[in-house]
Amino acid sequence: MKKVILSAAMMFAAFLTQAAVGKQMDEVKLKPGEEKVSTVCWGDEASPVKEALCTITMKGRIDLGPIEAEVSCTTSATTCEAATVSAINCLSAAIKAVRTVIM
Amino acid sequence: MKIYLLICSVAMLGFVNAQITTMFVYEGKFNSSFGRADNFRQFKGTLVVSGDRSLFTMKEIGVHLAAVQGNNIDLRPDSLFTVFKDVESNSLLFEFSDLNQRTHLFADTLFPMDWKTSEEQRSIGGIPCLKAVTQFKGRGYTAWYAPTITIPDGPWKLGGLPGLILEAYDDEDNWHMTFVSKQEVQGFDQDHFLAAMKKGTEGFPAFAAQVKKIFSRLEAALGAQSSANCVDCQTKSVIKFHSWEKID
Repeated sequence: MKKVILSAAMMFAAFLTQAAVGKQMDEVKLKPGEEKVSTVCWGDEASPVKEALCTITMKGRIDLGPIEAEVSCTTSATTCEAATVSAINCLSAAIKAVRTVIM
Repeated sequence: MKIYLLICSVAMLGFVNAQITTMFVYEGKFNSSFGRADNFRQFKGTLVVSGDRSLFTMKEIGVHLAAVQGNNIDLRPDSLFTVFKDVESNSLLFEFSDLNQRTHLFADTLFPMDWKTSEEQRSIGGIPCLKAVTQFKGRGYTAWYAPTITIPDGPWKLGGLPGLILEAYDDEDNWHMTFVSKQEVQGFDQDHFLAAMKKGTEGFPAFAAQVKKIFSRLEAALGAQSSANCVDCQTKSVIKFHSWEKID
């Protein structure tokens, strides 16, 4: 039985718990034995913000048990509201994209 | 005639004994983020041993928490770390569930671990155990095995020690299984695995290739997306892949 759980309604709650305000995006540090098969940047890298005041990172996971894919969207903007909206949209697009692959 | 009957009885008794199947029950945890975050879930593991063959699997205890988390796609199969071993034919098969949750069987080397044993002792469930450590597919593992249970097996792919492994965990304690009880059962369905062995099963390199193919599909899907929605924003999106076992 497929257990595809997508909860758009929980996105705001996820934002509350996962958003990292005011931090630059950190590379995920791999632990010994972990295999980083590849890392790709995708999506939009819009025009640089000259005076970004707020940076938001949102993460999503695709959990297959012994393997996992982690998607993160980090957005900088002059306001936290703009950064948050952009990060949410980015991650939402990512999850939708994954959904098309597994459906 | 009496001697003949006696021989037949002994032979039948031996046959009956050969059919005895024991299920060793473990409890423990698995962190599906492998230490990058706390995504621990509790699992019940079972190692069913029948002669030279065994089947290990672990199932989550309780509710799947991922079901109520946003931004996560939970494609975990109901059973994780499922491994069938046949010591007689020196075979090991393990299950892998793909993006469409189709289960595939792959072969791997039976007990390739180079164990370093020590005299360190402790008791698990009242059974004296000795400590051994090894490196396997990119991770360090500790095993506590019972020399009094002369089954060279253990949870998941671990085994090859002079006694059953009653407790095993990786160096960072992201996966941990501890023996809690045992019971005799009616055997287990081996046909699925035996048929796969007979047919011929691809090995670990094929598994690694399939994992990489899945990652490629995800990359391609995400690469086709655009998140342009804010002219004053700068967005950087990254996808990273992680595997419990090191794949070359």
